[in-house]
Amino acid sequence: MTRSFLHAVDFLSRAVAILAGLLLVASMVVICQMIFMRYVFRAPTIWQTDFVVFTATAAVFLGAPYVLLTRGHVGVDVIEIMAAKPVQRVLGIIGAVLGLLFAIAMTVASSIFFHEAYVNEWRTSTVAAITLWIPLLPLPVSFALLTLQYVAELVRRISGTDGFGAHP
Amino acid sequence: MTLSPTTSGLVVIGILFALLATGMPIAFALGLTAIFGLLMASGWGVFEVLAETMFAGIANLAYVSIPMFVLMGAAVAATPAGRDLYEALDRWLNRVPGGLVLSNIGACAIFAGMTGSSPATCAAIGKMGIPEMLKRGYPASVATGSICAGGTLGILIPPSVTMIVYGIATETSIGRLFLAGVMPGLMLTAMFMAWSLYDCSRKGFRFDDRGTRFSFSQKLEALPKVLPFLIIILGTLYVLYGGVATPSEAAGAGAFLTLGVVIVMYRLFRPKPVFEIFSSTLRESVMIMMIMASAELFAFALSSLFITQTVAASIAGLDVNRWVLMAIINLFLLVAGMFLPPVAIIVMSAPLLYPIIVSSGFDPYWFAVILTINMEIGLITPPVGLNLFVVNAIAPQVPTAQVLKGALPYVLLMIGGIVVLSIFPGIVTWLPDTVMGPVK
Amino acid sequence: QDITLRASHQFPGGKGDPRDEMVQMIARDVAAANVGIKIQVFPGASLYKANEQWGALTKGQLDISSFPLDYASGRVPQFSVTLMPGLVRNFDRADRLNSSPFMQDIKKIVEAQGAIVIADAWLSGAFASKKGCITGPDSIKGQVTRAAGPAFEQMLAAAGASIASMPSSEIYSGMQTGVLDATNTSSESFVSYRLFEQVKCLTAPGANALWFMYEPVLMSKQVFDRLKPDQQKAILAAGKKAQDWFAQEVRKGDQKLVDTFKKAGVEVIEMSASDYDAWLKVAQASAYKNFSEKVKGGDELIKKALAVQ
Ligand code: NA
Ligand code: NA
Repeated sequence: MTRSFLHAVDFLSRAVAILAGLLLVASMVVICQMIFMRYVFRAPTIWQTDFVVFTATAAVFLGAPYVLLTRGHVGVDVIEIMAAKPVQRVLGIIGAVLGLLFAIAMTVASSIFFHEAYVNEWRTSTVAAITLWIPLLPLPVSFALLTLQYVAELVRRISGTDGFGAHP
Repeated sequence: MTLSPTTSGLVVIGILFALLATGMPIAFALGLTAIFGLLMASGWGVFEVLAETMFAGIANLAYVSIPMFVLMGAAVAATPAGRDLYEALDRWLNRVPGGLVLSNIGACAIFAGMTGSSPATCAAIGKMGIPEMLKRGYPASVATGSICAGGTLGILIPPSVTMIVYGIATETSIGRLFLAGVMPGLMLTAMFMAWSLYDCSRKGFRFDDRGTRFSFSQKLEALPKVLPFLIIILGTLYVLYGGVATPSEAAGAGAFLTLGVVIVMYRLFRPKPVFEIFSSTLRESVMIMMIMASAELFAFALSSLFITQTVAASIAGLDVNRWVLMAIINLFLLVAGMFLPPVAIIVMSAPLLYPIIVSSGFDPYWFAVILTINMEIGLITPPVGLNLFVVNAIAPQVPTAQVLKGALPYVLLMIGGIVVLSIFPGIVTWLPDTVMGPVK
Repeated sequence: QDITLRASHQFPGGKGDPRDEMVQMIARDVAAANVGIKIQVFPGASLYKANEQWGALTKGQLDISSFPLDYASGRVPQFSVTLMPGLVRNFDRADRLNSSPFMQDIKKIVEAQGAIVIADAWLSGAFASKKGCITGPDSIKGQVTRAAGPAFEQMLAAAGASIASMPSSEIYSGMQTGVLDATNTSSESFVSYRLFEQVKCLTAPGANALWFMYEPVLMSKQVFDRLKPDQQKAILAAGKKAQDWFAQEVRKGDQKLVDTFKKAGVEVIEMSASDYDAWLKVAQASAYKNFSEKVKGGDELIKKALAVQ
């Protein structure tokens, strides 16, 4: 039961990270398209800027759970390294609880923001006037998944099956 | 709750340190502390603006260039290009005493021209450089220290992630900031090289070329291998300064060009290496930008609690000579750099320091370089030093104490560099003034 | 104990920027009125970023702010009309517009959203190009242009310009490297970004200026409604005074723009009435049309604005 939960969460984080990678590629390609249209054809570019900004931003948020999974977020590990094993374990658990707290707080905050944008039909104040909830959707999704990833992290740290070691 | 700004400042800093001490990710520690601070300042209503602050903090066209400049580095690092560059330099510098350490630092400087990130530079060159130096008997402290320090050039020699963040925070021209970093970057490169040579000989290491000798034709053969680097650097420069695109957009074109060159010249058609490139790009840029987004929240909390304004007023109220002021600012940046990554410091302090700098008669472009060198130092000082982490991962057999001992002289060199640039600010301003005309 | 109100804006503080000065003036006058209110000004986007102020204001998280109302047009589409080409024309007409049914409508919408206007302010802007003078719509054809405001982007694109987006701080280097041929932005930005070093010709705001932007001082309605009547009165009086002061100051700014550019050897012209009308035709077919079709009551707003003499 716990095992399949851990697997499912890890799988989700990876799947969303692949999506994030694709969004980065899309962002890069559209930047080039925009430069090309303007430099070569002197043609107006209308939607590109919004697209580029929002895909890249989405990629950053969507990548966060994967980066937690693969220990890519930097932390201060001095005390963790110097401390005795049991202290390390306790610190690790406290750290994960605090991380979980942040993830939950941001899930709530970003859901409020997303919901407001959705019901009020907010748009961007740019010429493309993109429906704002679309670029905002990655926020609650990412933070909810980050919450799950932290629960998984906590389970691993408490049960001692933390195979990754300290944060680099 | 009405605490004085000083008290609430101490509370916030205390919470931050306590959270950091658990080893939790810096991004989330900053964010959680910010939420505490905001609850103190404005109550639960603040939940209605949290997400927007974080989102708007990074949803910016100029910031799109950060993952793009990281991608450039990751793409090259995934190929044997680093090894080729390194070999070419080695063949040419082989007879020079200490040629290998020169190749290392030189390769770092060239690689820095293609990525906006210091850890990426450190990793790409260090992977080849450290084992090779250790193999040829260089002192371990020199091998690791020179790579740690050489890697920091990634954010000084353009493109640079920190310059982009500074440019947005202070509304200065990113193109001009990039140019400002070139000469100081070359100066530090030369200083690093000179010190490494001296340090090797001081430690009784004997340079000799009894190893392989390269014939002139072998040397020539190595040159085409530098070609991809030239294409990428010149191509990106052309897009940046040739009227093709704005600096924010140039990064995208640079990343595209780099991927193209890397895939074609190194025949990187298999999905696995391409997957690796994006995985490492994602990991590093998410790490950087989550820290930025949280730093936005943190800066918002500090301002809401009136801490920022109190600090700014007390700095401005210091009735001291402007160079004393500059020394205080440098000290602050050095201490902050020990604990926090560069982007976090710039997001939080640039808007605070910029008006003070300008009103004291300092050139904001010159200050950007001074700030960046401080941030470079932070990358190789404990407890949080991104380059230290990278080197530790590459050469786990070298004890951390050795790495630190090797890196320390470079810290002093960089402080020396700051002094030199303070005496001769022309080193910073000459290139941008020549290319873009004198500043306002 | 005094109530402390927080005022936020994005302009440099204490540097003589009239928009900063306007908010500082209100803070000083309200303090002098001795009604138990202290206003703390956070300049230079040091509390909220420019685009976040509207949300914070309407939720009661921020008390007072000054920003271009168009920034909120994504949430309140009607606000686009406050940065619509050719609706204002000149300062005298801006004064008449302030007391017209058009502005009454705008203020009603502002209030319905949870904010109130305590001081009106219209900023003028100009066109400039490295290629030649921007006169009629034909003169911008094929030029890579940075426009301040989406409605302007629509109009300029319809006139055949190629639009490049960048923050105003990049205009200078954009022109220098050749990414950008032309730009339109506020008179203030033209001077502060030293664009006179780059451009060949400036189309100054004169009798026929296409670019005007509404940048009022706003207050959170929740917060305002909680105040006592004498406190409300003090704030409104301070707002009125700041508004009158700004209306004079902004005209001086235009003179400074013309003087600075002339002194730098830039050709300075004004738009003729016939060129202005030609632009209006382009705007009718692009920005106005789009606004009328997509925004509830949009058509009416434009008609009301144009009806002002
Ligand atoms: Na670089
Ligand atoms: Na450090």
